[in-house]
Amino acid sequence: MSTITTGRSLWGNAAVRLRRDPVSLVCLAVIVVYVVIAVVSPFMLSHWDASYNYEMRNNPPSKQFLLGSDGLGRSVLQKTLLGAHVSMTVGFMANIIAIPLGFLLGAFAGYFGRRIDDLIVWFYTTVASIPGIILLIALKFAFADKKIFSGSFCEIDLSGMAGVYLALGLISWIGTCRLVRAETMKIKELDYVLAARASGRSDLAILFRHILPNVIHIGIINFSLGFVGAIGAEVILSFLNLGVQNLPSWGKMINDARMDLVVGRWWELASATGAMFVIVLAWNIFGDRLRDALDPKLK
Amino acid sequence: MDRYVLRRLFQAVITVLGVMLITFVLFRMIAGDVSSSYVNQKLGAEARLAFNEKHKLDRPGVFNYHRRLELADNTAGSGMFALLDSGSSRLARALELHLAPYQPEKRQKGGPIITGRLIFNLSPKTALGMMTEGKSFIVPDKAAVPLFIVRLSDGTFLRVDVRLLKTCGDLIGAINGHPSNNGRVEARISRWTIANLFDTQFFWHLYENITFSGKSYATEQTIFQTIAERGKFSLSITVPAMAIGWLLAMVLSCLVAYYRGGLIDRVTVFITILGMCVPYLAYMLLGQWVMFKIAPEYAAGLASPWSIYVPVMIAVIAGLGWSVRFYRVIILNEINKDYVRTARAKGVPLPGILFRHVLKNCMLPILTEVISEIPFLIMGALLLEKFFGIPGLGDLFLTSITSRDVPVITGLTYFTTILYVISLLLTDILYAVFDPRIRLR
Repeated sequence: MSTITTGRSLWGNAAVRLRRDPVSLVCLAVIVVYVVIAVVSPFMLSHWDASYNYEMRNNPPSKQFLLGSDGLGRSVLQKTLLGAHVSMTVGFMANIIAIPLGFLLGAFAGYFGRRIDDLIVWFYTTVASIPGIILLIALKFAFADKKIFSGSFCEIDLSGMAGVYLALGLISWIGTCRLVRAETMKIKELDYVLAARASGRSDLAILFRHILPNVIHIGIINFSLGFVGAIGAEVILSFLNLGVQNLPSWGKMINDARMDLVVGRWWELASATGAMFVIVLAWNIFGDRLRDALDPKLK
Repeated sequence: MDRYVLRRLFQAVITVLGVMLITFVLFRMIAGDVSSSYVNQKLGAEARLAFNEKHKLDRPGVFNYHRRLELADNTAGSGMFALLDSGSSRLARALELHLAPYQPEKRQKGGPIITGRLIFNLSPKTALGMMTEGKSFIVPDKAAVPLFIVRLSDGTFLRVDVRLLKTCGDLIGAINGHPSNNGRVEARISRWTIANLFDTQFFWHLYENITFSGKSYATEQTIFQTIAERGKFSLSITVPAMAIGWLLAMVLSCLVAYYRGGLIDRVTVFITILGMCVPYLAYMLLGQWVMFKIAPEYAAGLASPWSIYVPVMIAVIAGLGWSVRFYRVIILNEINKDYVRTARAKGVPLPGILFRHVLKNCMLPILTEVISEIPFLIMGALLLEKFFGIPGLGDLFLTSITSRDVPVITGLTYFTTILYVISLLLTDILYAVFDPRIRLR
């Protein structure tokens, strides 16, 4: 007696594989916890900014301050929790900008070929040949004191956090674009695309309904890479005083701790680095596992 | 092969042009008026105009396609035809400042012509304030009437009151219709001219980049001199860091690949992943702190040649995780191939295969990776230089960004890009020459 097992999609397969893998579940849990902290902390700890206490400046970890206190006598633990908001927002938003941009350009280049392909390839080669950090600094610098959509309800002040993630998004789409372009070029030669074209579907419909769903996993995989890169870049921008200004962030904490280590104040550096270390590790491992899970050749 | 190289060269040139376009848009157009950072405020608008003129910042953006003000002298005298400073009208001075000197050979029927600045796209509606860079062209001085004075070649003068003038058309009308003019001077807007079509910020930007002749606003040094002077500090960090890092990564990844799947492999991979998760800035802080504990005199600056090894060490350690993982994947991909299995089956010991065959085949991707890193050596590690106070190019770049020293920023970006594009070209050709599997189109 033979049973017909129902077929599983690529995503269903990946979900099953991830569910069987305790390490990736732990990583996913860590990411979810960070997201929750990032969303909740600005509301829960809104009193932190005004809670300075000059009597308690630079206290080492104690019962009152589990991770010590900063130069204004505020809790470093709460500061670290608040820092999650900036890092997670920057990581998320940079990807929200970069991945659709890379997808759109890569898909158009790969599908239409010829002149459009030449133009897009030229554009990303050009952007890629300027060192990323230079481009990032230049963009962030160009954004200083600028606002977009000013006057309208969705006014965005580019000198703050919005500038950081916009700059990051505008430089980190190239990897996605390359992969999507190559994959689209491969897929558009397949028979089912030919069939769709023969049945009279328009180019855009073929591209968005038939090709893009088959390359979307590239975006998911690059999301984890982009997230890690964005968290690292936020630290670098803070070090150059081009980062987020008015909110506590891990980059600013590490930057503030530059002179602290020499005089023995390690807790601010340690908590920011630790917080960052855990989330980056989780994303790195989860990204790897996800890539393996989405690879149909690995069974 | 030749055709392939030529085609790649052409692509490289196009890419470099694209980079210059991007740097132009990013740094020149968005930077805005930088003269305020370099000219003392007390010197006023004219010093800023002079600065802008000296650095070609008064030119139009991309194409110099313009109409300008023309004054024609119809008196046919033998004296000088000029605009004079009226004292209380900045308009006359602003115009005089920018008017081309009287050129006798430009004599047309009726007499000599004074032509205005090359950069104005005048129309009768152009506001006169534009010629004085937005400042009011009337000096607040109640004693004198603001005048626009023309000295004609027959020695007579024409004095035009400019108090009520708003636009260029008003000025032309006031000169031509002046009661005492009687056709002696004719003011007009010239035809469109493209004589100096390429005398623009963009083409000066191209020229300065290509010849490395852009001069720093702050020090007046050309980019070429700057690179020659400061490059060695950057190289003194990055070259040892790259050499040591590459050697270490090769040794480690070979070791890991040799014991693949074993304890050493797992532990090393785990450590490299952990290493990749620590932010770069934390490495720098920790490295400096360790050095401060061991030998505080070497912890910053360049007082002793030994100080350079702290940033070098940090760069090596921070970059090791990534390269070990990268090389390991390449070597493992190669080890899993059929020819290795065949050799194993024939009884060749693993070290023999690893070093004689596998490494040779892995060298190409690894070398490609190494060569593509070379261009970034010259800029040094930006953050390391800034943190440890090493006066290299990376440090200069960051300083120039904050002080808006545009020629230095664009010059250094362009230089790095050129090196990067050349190294890409080299690696492509390297592949073509050494890997027979790759066919050139």
